[in-house]
Amino acid sequence: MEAAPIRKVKRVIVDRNLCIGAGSCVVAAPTVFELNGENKAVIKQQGSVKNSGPAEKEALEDQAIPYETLLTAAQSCPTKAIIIIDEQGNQIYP
Amino acid sequence: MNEVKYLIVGGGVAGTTAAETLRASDKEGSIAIVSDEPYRFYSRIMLSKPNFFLEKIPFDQIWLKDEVWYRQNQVSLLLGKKAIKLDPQSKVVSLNDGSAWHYEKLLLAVGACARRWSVPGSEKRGILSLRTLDDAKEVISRVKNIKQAVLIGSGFISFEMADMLTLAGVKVTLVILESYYWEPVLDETSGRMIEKVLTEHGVKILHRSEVAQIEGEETVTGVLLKDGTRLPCQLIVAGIGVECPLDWIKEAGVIVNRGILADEYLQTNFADIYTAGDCAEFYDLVLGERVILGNWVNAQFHGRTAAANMAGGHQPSKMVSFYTTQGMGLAIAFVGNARVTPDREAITRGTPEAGSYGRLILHKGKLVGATLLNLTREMGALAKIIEGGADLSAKKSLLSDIRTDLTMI
Repeated sequence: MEAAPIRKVKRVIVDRNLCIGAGSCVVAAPTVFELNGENKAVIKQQGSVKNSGPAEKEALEDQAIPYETLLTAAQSCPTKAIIIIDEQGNQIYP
Repeated sequence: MNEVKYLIVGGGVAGTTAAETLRASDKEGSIAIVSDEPYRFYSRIMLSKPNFFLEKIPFDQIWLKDEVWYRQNQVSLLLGKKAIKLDPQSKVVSLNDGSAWHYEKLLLAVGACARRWSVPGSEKRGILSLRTLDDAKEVISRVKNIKQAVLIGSGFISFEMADMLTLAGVKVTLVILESYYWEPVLDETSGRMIEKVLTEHGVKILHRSEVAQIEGEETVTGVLLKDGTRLPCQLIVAGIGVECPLDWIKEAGVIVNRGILADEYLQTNFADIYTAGDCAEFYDLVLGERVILGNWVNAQFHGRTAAANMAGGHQPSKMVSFYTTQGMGLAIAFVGNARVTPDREAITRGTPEAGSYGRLILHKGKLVGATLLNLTREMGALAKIIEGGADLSAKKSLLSDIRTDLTMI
């Protein structure tokens, strides 16, 4: 079993070209993701900003979202369209 | 006899998510997945997406787990093997390679198969249903060299294929039995709205039409319709729905209706046998009825829930599922249980002229589902209303007014 170290999320991005609007992220993390009028996932940020990002973790509407939940949302995407970046600027997923 | 703690039949999204969830809570228990396909877990939902066919999404993006994942998580993957017999008393599943597997907990996540199309000539090459990666590979290899394609049936597959094929420069004729697209799942207004974009993109639609015969030697060269019309084509995609081949499960005494019957915990009539995904006919707590919901998010959620319960939990599967697609400037979304039965009422919202049109489906005053055309932005709010289960009998006119903010209902 791989022991995944707990890392801090710095940034979340949705790749609009990959997103097909399956909505797995919306199910896994409804406080962070929703589908827009074009069936693309958008990231809910403070001040009613909703876009595909890059969105800084501290700018999220739900700043308290646990790392595991964000990772589950990204991992559940059937096109690997959600990119998660850690504080060192490394890509955590995919 | 092979011994395994958790045996999962089906290597798709429900089965693989279950394996992942089981491993997270049980580090030691052995897990085996049996799949009748030769491939590890891939994105079945991507198979019909135009960006995938047109290689805007790289082919390798289809693989959702690499071989390392199975190894690291100690999930045995038995590929290209079919489960053919189940003995629930001695808890053994037999495979078509002669092997037998004794389990402690069994998950039946066998999915659904494309419905067989029994038309004279349907065994020829070039006729596909787009259910498996092999189907998709064949479409990809054919699409570059063909001029005309015929699509059978009105639903998600035909819509997505029409989009992809027209983008690829193929002339598309759509042959449907119904008098409008997606009848009777959608109302005529919705159906015509979809037909309008299809037609604008060059798709020719033939209503109340049926194929009498497929022409060609080994490979399809055309179809002959019952009214005598001949349509030359080099590819046919039959999106005529799915069915579940459940004979071996039924013979074992597992209760089967259209799908495998299960309660809200996804448990079948045998305590150690669970089911998940497209094959599960489960008791949906939100909708208050037994349903089969064949979509990605439902299968994924089922995988998580069934696994939690197989590992000793007691967690009901409670969610509002949905499916969306978009193409040709039209976004289509179905939420909850969108079927209109005689005891249900559909409230319309928006107009085709304004570009957005939806139907909110009420059962005994409660919202149970919706069909949305260019209204996906309201899907989240609608899912919340469905989940809340409030009586909306007095709010019908508000619901039908497009200006109403549904998050305020």
